[in-house]
Amino acid sequence: MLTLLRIKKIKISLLVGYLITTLCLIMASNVYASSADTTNTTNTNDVAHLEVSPEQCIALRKGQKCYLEVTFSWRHPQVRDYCLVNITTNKTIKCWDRQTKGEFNFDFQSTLSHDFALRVKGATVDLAHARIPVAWVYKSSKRAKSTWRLF
Amino acid sequence: MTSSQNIPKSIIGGLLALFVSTSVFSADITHALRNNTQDKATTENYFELGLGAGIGRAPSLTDDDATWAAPYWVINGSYNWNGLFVEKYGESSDPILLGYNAYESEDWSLDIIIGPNFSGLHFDDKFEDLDDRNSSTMFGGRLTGYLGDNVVQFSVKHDISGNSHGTSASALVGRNWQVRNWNFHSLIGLQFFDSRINDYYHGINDAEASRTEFTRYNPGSNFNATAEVGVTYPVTENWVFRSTARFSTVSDADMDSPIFETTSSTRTSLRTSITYVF
Repeated sequence: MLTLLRIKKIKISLLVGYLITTLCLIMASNVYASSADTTNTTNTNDVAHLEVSPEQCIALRKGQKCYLEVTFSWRHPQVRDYCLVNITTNKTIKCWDRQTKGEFNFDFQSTLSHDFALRVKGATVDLAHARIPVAWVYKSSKRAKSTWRLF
Repeated sequence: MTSSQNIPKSIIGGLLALFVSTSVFSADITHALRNNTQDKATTENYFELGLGAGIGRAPSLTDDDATWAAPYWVINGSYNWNGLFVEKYGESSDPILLGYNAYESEDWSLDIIIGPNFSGLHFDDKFEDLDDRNSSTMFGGRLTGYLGDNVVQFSVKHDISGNSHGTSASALVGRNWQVRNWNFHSLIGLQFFDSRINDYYHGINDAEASRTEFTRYNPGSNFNATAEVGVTYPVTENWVFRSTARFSTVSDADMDSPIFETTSSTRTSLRTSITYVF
């Protein structure tokens, strides 16, 4: 009976230990993700600044739609009307009137990486760039169609 | 695959009972569902290594407690070259599988497969006077269909090693769905094991009965119903989190065998793992 209790204790302690280890690994992975969540910014104009955080969207498999809640933040020393534009789709996401800075929460959903830019309202010149890259864990290839190999 | 050096023998016995007793699904459909490959992705070239922990209830060959809990290593990988492939999935009852993709179309794929399955009873002294039960080399076919949102898989395999001379078959249907970046899957199916497999691994012949305390036992064939739900989440570009709950019935053909220390009419388990994809 004592041996039974001991085995049960060992089982439970093993499980708890490894669950904690698993949890630590996940947390460590999240820490890694967070540390990588530095802002993703490319400024084409020295005075303009656009950043997006977190910077990368991870899907399980190539071709899957990737989901990521991101925050864009921008600033510019001059008071003007600015717009955040999705360059990949050529669509304006959000505009601000007579501002020098702004923030915008955006629900990113795409199978591909997208580029964004800060522009003066109505203009086509990019003042600053930011990118949300889409990455995958598994990168498989598609099947060929109707191929007999043996018969 | 489980690291066995630090684990009590009873747990090893429990885990082996899981595999010996046909509890786990054909992993290939599980793998396809987990990784959301209803876009008909072929066997891919990849390798991943991780750690998991599981808890559950199952018949046991050595333990008088049906409840088990254990950590385990997760080693998953596959390699495909011109239709020839090798698969090693931790979710699978097949330790490793070699195969050849004989036919593939938009919706169907037929693989010729071969691999070892089932294991012996060398891990506990109480079986030392029994005849050896060696691994079977199962050879057969695996037909996988991608029908809308569902994946179906049929397989028939026969032992060509000359050990069990047995035949097994399975019919499984599953589907997956994505909620944001979480990939859920579900799976139900039937598995069949003929009397030769059951007799070789769970039976006791006259000679064994005469020299041991085990009573003679000659099981017939059996069906097991199985079900599984799980979730897979890409933590980063290289780390993947998985959690799976499984349920299967256990037939009398298994449970009437005297080699089982603890019997149970069902198997249930909950497993969680984290793996690094290289």
